[in-house]
Amino acid sequence: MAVSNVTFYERVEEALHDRQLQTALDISTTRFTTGRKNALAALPEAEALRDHARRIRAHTIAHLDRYLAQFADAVEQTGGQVHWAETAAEANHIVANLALSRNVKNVVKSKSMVSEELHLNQTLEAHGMRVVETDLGEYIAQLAEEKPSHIIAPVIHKTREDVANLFRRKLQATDEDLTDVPHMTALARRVLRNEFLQADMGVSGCNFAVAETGSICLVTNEGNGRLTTTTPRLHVALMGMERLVPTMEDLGVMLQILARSATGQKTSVYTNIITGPRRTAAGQPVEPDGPDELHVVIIDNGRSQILGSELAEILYCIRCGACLNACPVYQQIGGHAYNSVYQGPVGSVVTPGLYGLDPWHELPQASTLCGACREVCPVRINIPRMLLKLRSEAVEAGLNPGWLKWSLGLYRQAVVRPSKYHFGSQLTSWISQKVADNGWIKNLPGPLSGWTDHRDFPALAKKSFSQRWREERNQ
Amino acid sequence: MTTDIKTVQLFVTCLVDKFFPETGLAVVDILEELGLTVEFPLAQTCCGQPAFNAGFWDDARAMARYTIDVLAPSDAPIVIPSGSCGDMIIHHYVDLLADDPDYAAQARAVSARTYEFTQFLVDVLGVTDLHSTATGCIAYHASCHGLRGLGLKTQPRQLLDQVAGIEPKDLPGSEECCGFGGLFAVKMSQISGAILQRKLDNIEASGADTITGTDVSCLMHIAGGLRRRGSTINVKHIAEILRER
Amino acid sequence: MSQRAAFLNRIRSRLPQAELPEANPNHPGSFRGYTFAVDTPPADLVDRFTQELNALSGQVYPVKNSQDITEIIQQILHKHGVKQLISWGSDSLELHQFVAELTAAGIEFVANELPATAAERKAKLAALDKIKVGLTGAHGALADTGAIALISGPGRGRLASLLPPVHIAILPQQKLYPSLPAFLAAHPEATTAGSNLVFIAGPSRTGDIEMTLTMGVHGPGELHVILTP
Repeated sequence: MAVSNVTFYERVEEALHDRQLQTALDISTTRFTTGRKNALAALPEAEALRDHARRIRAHTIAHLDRYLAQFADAVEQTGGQVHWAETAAEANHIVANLALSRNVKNVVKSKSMVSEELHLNQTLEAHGMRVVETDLGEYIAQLAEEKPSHIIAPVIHKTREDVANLFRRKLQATDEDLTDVPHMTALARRVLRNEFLQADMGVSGCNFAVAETGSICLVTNEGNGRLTTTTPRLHVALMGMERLVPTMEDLGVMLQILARSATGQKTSVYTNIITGPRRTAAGQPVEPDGPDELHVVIIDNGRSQILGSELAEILYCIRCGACLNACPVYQQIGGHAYNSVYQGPVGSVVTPGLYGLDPWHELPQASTLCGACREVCPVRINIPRMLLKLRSEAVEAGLNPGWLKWSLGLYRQAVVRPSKYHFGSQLTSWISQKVADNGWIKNLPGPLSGWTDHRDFPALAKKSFSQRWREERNQ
Repeated sequence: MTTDIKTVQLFVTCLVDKFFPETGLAVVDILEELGLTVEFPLAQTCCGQPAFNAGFWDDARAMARYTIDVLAPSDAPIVIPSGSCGDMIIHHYVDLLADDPDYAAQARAVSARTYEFTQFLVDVLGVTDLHSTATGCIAYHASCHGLRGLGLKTQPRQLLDQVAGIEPKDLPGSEECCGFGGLFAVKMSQISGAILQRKLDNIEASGADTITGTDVSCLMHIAGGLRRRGSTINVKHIAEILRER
Repeated sequence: MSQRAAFLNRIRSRLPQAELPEANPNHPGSFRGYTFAVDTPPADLVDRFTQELNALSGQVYPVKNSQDITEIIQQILHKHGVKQLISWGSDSLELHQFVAELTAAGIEFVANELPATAAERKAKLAALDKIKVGLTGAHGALADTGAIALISGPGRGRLASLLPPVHIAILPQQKLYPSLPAFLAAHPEATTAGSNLVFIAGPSRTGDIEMTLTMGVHGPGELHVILTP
């Protein structure tokens, strides 16, 4: 994964000072969190459903080899083909070869996070193909040559004016095209419709795959997922290896909570379940449309690394984005600051899990450990536990600043020796009382100045509780 | 009171001990007024959470073992005026020391008799009315580790509801984090500060003249922010309000 | 070793170290306590379905007979000033006498078979894209979300509900189910009967620009459900 030279702290600073981004984050995260809360409150069995969904995901991941084999067999029985890719390079190679051997020129894509892990677009473009993202948000991000900043709402960081300027520049939009959001959307529809009609290959992701039937489930509100998998004669579905559920009934459980957790909708507009390419009899198609070929690429790309670790629980994730919206840190810094396909609390576990703690060790630190992510997670993933685990691994790997290691070591020495501890704190109390103004300090030294950059710090009490206890109780 | 508990141990927390002794004294007053004998093991220091949250688990284990040694001799219930330190001792000690042959069982035993202060009053003693009388417009901030770690959803509010003379105010986003997060407030101070500003805006919008909660850590963070803004809104631990007569 | 075997072996080698809270060797089974609500009175299902679909900007038209269908379709075609429909085969449509009536009135029902070669396929798609209205049946509908279920098959393409800006679906009232799980329980074959099972809950929508709700971004901007007895 490409690592930019800009540090996490610089990206955070930029995000915090981007007023437009701040407004967008306020509006979107408030709307998503409120929507989620209301949608789940209206579902009488929401809590029990979440427990059940968690059990399904846990069981599936624990038997992933078996369910993947069952899924692959089922796909092949329906006439689809399955490909296995251990790395991003292998996955890109598979897709590029499929496209080249079938003389593909134009590719349409519906939203796929795993494809962003692969940098598939660059690979196909390097082979001279034209690749177009078709989710409106992703399309806008592609036109702007940016990355999405949210799992569900890729361009929440952009205003209508930003998009209008972009459309004017890249699509030669007229003033009339840019009258309002519906007009702008209509323009995008016209442009993208042509792409769909000309496409030789459709590349989709996979929200869920069903082992018993070999089905791929795609949920979208726009319908681009359906067009991508219907108009081109070749459909390639990219699937992270953990995206499975065992049965259709299990899929029903997941669908009851996915949209509610993601956007607060009871359901997405289109729940598209694809089982094989269009059906044939005696070599002739018996269904009027649909792709003639279906290829499913099952991708590891670091997931088995996560699987064999204490982070395996993160593979239960159903990619709803609820933890992003609920996270006080994400609410402030947005998605781009994470500099990764996977953002927010889930991203702070997945990114170092897939690519290693170095250089991603700042991400698990970017949390107050408030637990809001775990609270809203539809499958109750204990994200704080894994952030803590990653922090301890960072310590073991020596990725922390020296002053912190040194001062915590000193602190530990004091804590386990009460006389030292109390003496040290009496000394600190005396100093802090000297420098404090009316009991509060405005400037702390060294690394602690971070605190007083934003708030006052209290002086230690003149007499501690233990001193007063000792004196008053004569102990 | 419907229990036969006669004695409790107070683990006062390092922050209360060194910064906010009044909170500890209020807790003692309340417990003693309920007829309990309060033991205060003088060797107690810090539960080790700062090191644990920063990932320094060997240091945290040393501090956990030390604290267990301090608390283990008495089998009285342990009361802590902090949801965060309570969560550390109740949940994380057990995990941290799970493979320690000398301490695993003790960690579980200590965990089983440790309670956050309001949790102890309401869930263990079954007390909600402390016959308190206070003044002011009071809003409650729910600290994260108490709320989500220990499930302190209703207990503090039940206690506050019984206080005569106060006007409760609704704090918008009362269950949202204040941005403290221990060393996070220092290491990622610009994010922490931004989260704090949102909390302070909500506090100022609530119309309260006093903010209360179960954890002096978050309250210290909030008070420091209010002070920097020049606000006159008071910040008090819940025990200090419950003690008022 | 095949790619597949290597891939699955790698997973097998990692699983023993995996920390997987609440993973049980047995599948958790059906969701116990699930409200299938099979005894919901049909009239309540109709009300709920209508309410939910209306909330998503879809229209519901309860009808008595084929003549009613003719009128509704004519109205919609008239509103859009067109005389063509991409349509499912008439034997997949309820009360399909209306097809003959509308044909006699000059309405053209276009099938959407896509040829196998790439060039012919694109040419056919370009032609179909000019048609403004699509007509389908439905295999079920979900009262709790307002979604209709369509299964692809002979004479039942995906494009009729997807390509044109207007989608009309004819849904027999007895195909209403309380929820998605209830539908799947009643139709275990729904997923495998065709290459595509789709649930459609209202017109296509997006909120990607400033979270402003906009209809008809890729799929139809109008959804009309004709509810037959």
